[in-house]
Amino acid sequence: MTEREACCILQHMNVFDARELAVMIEAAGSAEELLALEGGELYKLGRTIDFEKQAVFDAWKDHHLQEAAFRYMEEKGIGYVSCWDPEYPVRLNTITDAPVGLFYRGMLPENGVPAAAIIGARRCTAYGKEMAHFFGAELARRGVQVISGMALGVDGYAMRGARSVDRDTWGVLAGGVDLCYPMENVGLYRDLTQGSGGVLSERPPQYTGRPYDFPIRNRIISGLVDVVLVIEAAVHSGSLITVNTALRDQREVFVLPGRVGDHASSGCNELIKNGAQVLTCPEDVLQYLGISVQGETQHPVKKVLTAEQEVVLQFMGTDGTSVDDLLEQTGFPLGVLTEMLVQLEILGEIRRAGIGGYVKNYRG
Amino acid sequence: MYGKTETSCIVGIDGARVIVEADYGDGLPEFQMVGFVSTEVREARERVRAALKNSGIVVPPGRLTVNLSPADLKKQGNSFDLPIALAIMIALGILPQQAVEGYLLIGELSLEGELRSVNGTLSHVLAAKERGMKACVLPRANAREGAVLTDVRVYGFETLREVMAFLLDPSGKEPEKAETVEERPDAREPDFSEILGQESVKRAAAVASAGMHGFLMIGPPGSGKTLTAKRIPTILPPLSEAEQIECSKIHSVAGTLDRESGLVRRRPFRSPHHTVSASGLIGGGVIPRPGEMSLAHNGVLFLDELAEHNRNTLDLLRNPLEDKKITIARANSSCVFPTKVMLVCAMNPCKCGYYPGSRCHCSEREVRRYLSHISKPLLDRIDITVEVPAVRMEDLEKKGKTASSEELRALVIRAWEIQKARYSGRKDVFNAHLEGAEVRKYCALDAEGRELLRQAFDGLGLSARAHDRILKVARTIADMEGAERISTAHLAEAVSYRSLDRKFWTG
Repeated sequence: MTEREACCILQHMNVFDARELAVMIEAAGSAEELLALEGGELYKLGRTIDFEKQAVFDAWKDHHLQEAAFRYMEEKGIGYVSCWDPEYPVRLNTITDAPVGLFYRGMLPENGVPAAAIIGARRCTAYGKEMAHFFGAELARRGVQVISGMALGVDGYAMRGARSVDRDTWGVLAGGVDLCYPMENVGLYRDLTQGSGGVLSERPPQYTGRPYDFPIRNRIISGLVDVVLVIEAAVHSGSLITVNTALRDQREVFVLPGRVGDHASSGCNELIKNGAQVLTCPEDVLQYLGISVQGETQHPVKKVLTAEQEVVLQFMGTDGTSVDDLLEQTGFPLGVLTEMLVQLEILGEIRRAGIGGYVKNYRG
Repeated sequence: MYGKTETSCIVGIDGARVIVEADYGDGLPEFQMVGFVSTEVREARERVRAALKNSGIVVPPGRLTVNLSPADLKKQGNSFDLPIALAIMIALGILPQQAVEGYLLIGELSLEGELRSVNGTLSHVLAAKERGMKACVLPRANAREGAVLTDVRVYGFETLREVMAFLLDPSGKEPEKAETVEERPDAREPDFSEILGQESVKRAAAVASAGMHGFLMIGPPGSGKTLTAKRIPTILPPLSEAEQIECSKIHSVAGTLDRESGLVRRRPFRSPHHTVSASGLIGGGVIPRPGEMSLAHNGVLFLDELAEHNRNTLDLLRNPLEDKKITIARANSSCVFPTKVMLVCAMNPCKCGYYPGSRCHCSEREVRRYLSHISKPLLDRIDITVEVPAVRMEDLEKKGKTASSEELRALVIRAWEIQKARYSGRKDVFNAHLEGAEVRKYCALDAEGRELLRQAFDGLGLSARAHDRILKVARTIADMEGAERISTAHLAEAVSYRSLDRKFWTG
């Protein structure tokens, strides 16, 4: 058995936390030597291991179980890297509680390429959704690897943003990489596992993430990247846990400001007050990452709009504007306005948001 | 001695001919009733006996047999008392047989001998007309309802004695006159001008009415969905005479007809609660009765809180919506109820009703689950979906010009007339009912239109199933303007009515 396989089996046990396992491997000399011990001998490594964990440890020494696990991984196309492998993400290795190894489907993020995490609330507002998508797309387009938690809300939209410009993106899961969680993002999951990035996890396959696994997982997200972008986060939200680990591990944190009084942005504004970098455009991040933004045509050529369409656009913002308001403000008859709205929507200038409302698409 | 009278029995919404025979003769005193009668008809025996006695007619002891023919038709309802009583009187020799020739007799008797009202009068009278009978004898309470058909004479009476007197000497009695109904001043119709703002919703309602398209409104509570739905009948063209009679027959059988006005003169509006059962909705029961859908025939069937309706119940709507009728089969009979309705639905965007606003406290998953309650096959029959935004204080205070029912009705009538001409020879066909090849034939686009549609599909992520629906709705919008060809403006408007197809609802 190779060292990597030994690590893989140790992680399959899923009873030791990352730091505990790393210490035990070090004390035993190697993962292989650790695996050669009996459960009852683990105390010799200087740690108290309770009987339940010992029993699981002993059970996994069964060759049939080990082979079954490897076979399952092969069938499902699940890869594994240990932290001693050269493929293991370098950035992640610098954090104090780096996982001993990672299970993954698809690819691993590349080491030499800048990476950014985009995180935020699951229940985001239309603004958060828009911004997550925008920053995901803009950073990915400039070659930044976008990494997130694949959750509903901001995470998913940021990753979709990256996919919308046909770039790879990565999701760090709290459960096994063979399980798509949340189910709503199955399209994204399928994309990632079929060659457009990947999903990673420190948990063994077939393990369903528990609520307490999510905060633990968050350190991997911030560990894998150079910068963390917070799109929308309420105070006391899970996103702030990621911010904490990011700051602990010396990652730069960029925070998107929200409106005062918006609950969804309350955590963000609090972070800014405490000195976080303010995120107002992709260039803020790109500059930090050392990516030149000079000489680039910043936006695709603006589509030619008619004078009337410009008028309609004038009355729209990033807040939903209802058709009734537009009718009153523009003075166009309903039929004309409806036609224009559909055409503007087709041109990608505006989109529907909320019940009966339209918002202007954000173009940086 | 022998006597016979003629009456009819409601089967579905039509009256079937029934002959009542009575035979009186020597034997042990007995009152037999035969002829496949239901319990309520069998009970007529006791009512008739008492009513005859209390009307001063003595039935001497003897063997009395009453037969209702044809013997293979189940006799149901309370309308047989009067013909039975009169048949017995003929058998007893109190009335001559020829006195009842050519009369259709209908009515329930009280023990005292009074005539009580029955349901389905209109169907009975229509049956009499078809059989070429000379007149109908009805309870007074039903007379006005029966008199709306001017080509059959209708007489209404309070008591059995009055009927007897009339049959012995019909000369003095004038037939019931059809009431010329002037609109009662208190029965003011709701009007679209009462809804402030929501111009786009009103417009969509008019488009839906113009092509009889299924119409779905999505919006938070209190945004005016129900108000809008209730006003849709007011923008549909007035009922034609034939339609009035059709509707009235159904309502008459169901007992929901307004006895004063006699006919259903306004487009029906039915709004069954979401706990409605399958047979309540499409009709049914041991004695098949019309359901809400048939009661809404020629009018609007409004399903509020669509997501709360039982999915299996809603799925039952699919066939009747397409066939415009429902056949209810029972072991010994089957009957057909017409179900030509315009389907109007309303729903909240989520359980709490406020998605995607900040007041919503549903998770995204809950929102999805809520939306998934709606039967997809039913959604496939809804061509127009609009979002109804919440009403704000400012909107209520605004005093702008707003579309009234009358203006909208003019548009709808124009579109109906054009469609009638285009689909000539095919009854009740509207743009919404086009299928496959017909869509391509009648809803052809020019190059510009095709390009717009292609862009809309790419740019807005519409699903393929939206394609035909957009074309049909665009056809209706063109018809409302009296335009021959579908322009890009028509098409664009039709595209805007497909909000449920869009990614908006699914992230």
